[in-house]
Amino acid sequence: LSRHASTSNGIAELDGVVVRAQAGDRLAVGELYQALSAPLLSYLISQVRRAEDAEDLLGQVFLDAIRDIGRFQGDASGFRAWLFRIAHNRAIDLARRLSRRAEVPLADAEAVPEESDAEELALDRAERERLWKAVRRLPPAQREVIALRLAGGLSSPEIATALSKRVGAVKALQHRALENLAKALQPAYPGKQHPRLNE
Amino acid sequence: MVNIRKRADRAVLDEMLDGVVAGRPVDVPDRLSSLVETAELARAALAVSVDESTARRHQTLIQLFEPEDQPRTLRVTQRRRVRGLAIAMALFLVLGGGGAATAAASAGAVPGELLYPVKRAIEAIDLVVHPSASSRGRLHLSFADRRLREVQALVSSRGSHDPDLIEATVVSYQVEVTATGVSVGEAEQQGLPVRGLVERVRLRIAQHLVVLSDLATRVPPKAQDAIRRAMQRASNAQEKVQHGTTKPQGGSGPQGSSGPEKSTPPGRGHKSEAPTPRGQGQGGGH
Repeated sequence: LSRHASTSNGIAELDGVVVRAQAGDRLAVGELYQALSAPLLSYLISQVRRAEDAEDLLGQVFLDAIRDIGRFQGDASGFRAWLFRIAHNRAIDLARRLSRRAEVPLADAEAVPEESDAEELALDRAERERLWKAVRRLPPAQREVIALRLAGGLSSPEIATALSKRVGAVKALQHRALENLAKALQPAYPGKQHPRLNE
Repeated sequence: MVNIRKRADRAVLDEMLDGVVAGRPVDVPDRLSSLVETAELARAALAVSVDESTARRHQTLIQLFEPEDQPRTLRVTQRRRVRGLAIAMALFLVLGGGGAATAAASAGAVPGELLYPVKRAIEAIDLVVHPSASSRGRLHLSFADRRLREVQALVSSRGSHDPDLIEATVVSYQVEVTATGVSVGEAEQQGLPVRGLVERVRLRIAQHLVVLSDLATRVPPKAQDAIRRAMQRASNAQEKVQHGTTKPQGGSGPQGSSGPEKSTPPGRGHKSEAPTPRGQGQGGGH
């Protein structure tokens, strides 16, 4: 677990918050929400078609976490993996429910979510759309791993924990996913492969 | 062997990705540069922020949730419950504590289901706790989306259609879409920044119109009039929002350090604009 922490961006700082949350401190859960809700939402949007559903699931994930936090054992990195595992299961449940309902999707209006202010500076909307579409077209296992890695910010061992896979399998999937993404994006940017990110 | 090299590449790539995720510069070997560059782009593209109203709602639920009182899952089996009871429960959830899982579970409910009144009550509360006109505009727009999805769900449900329920939901859509236009207008009058919202409303209503024109051919005759009226309302709201932002450049913005919000941005080649209700409705449907 400590290895997870060393490779994760600042997650170790949340160790104390997780302990407080386990002790029943709701404000600590609120802090965890603040720290982890955006990457979780980003992951959920990549898994369930509609941003609105993803937002609803995000709330459910945290309520599930509150309910079961007594059973959780580990540090902040483990907690993050655990939370994403809940999100993963919730997304699967929703997909099952929707398939039973046979609902017609309301266009692809929300396939590309509203950008966050910070990212708006870096990529324009057309590029975001192209990337989102490319991610959505990945095979499910690759999409899942790449979303956890890049949207969720998880390390490979954390992803392995969240999905009950071997770390080697996660690395292979992320490698393949990036190859496929690069291939999918290439025709759009002849010359120098990709647009440059702004500073 | 190829496999050994591949495995080594995967390990190196994994380290590079740790750097990308942490936002620290990485020294990338040439053979992996396109993959790392792709990862950087994808990371930037996938990043989203949680809407302020959503975060507030979730935080409220987090603080009020009492896990011991909640069943693990809620099943919508008993449909004949009193509507008033559900509304009271929703108010209790959000204001009084407990039952937050019900609130979350109600999110996917459609008209006629037990939890649907809970969903509507929570929406009403959402509006109350968001005093600013622009956030109300955003909420109304998202509620209009929901109503339209509910109509779709009702129309496509395998059981028999209930024309009254469909009609009532379409009417609710009309209400939301009209309220969207009104709230955006208010926000503008108050000098709030609305460019992003206006663009969002414009695109979303364009999509609504496409969906409505499709629904017009599939709903029971009784609901068709309501659909036509809804298309008219949607077009009106769209026009109102567009004209609202194109005219007042000089007057509405305070002194423009960042400048008053611009009118609709120059066309970026968005896929399809809305078919007008007239163009679609009379030409294609009947």
